[in-house]
Amino acid sequence: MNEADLKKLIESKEELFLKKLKYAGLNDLEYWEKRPENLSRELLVRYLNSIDETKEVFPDMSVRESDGGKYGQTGFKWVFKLRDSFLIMGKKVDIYLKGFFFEEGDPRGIEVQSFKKSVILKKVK
Amino acid sequence: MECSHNNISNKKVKKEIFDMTFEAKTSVCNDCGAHLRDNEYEKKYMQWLEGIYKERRDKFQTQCHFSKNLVKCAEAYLEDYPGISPTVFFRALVTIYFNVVDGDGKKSSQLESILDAEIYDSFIQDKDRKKVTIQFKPKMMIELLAIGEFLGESTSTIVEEVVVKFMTMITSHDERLRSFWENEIRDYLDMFLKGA
Repeated sequence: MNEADLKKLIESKEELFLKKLKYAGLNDLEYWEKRPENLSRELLVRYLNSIDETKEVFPDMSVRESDGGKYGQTGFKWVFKLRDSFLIMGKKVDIYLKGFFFEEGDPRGIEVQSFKKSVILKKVK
Repeated sequence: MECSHNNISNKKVKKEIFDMTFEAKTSVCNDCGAHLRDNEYEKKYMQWLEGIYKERRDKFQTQCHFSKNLVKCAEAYLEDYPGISPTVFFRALVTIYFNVVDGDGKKSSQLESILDAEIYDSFIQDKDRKKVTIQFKPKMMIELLAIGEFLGESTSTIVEEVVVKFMTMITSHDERLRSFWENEIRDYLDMFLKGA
């Protein structure tokens, strides 16, 4: 996907979130890796590649609190928090992802602040 | 409380891999200790890995042990591909699995559901085994290491499992497996082996 198409995709109100995440992340990815709590960048790239871009997922969106770092000032002002899953060697892995798109004037990538195994708490009856 | 990496500074970070140490300067969060793996960091990391690959090929090799029967089946299959060794063939199968099957939920689930357990188990349980060394390019090797670390398995265990899955497909007479092989894998393999 060329630069202009990617910009159009990220700014589009019709396109699905996961499609935007996939192409922006595979184009320009800034990943805060913190081991061992978070998963490696290699697995994050595998997740992005595996995204079914026709799948509809609605992430939690909130106003970004941090403004430090390379894209702190120019990144999108909202943060996405997403729960999804993908397969590794045929086994389903539930993941949690938090980050934001950059940059506002030139949308082309994502900064991922957290990427880890998602733990779904069960209700105790 | 999740860290938003507000308090950062530029520092040298170390990454241990292959009993060696990669060092690079990047942003480090002073609050939680996370470090930034951006495209610049990845470029340096890949250049370092390529350098190691030139000098220490052994670091990019996995020692696998396959059923001798499986190796014979691979050799028989390769009669249609003169000049291609079983090790190159096995490398192709692993690369195709991780780039074509495992990343695609539908294909991966389909393969798992139609695998011929009898043939698969016969390859796995066969005590008469042969050591095979398979070499990977740096990018594939670090992916295998990441997957292995996540699953708590060695790279050789992962490679063996993938090769056995694909050899089960190749040797089975089950129509669904044959059709999966012909429709989803065969073209990729031909393309890979032509370029080998």
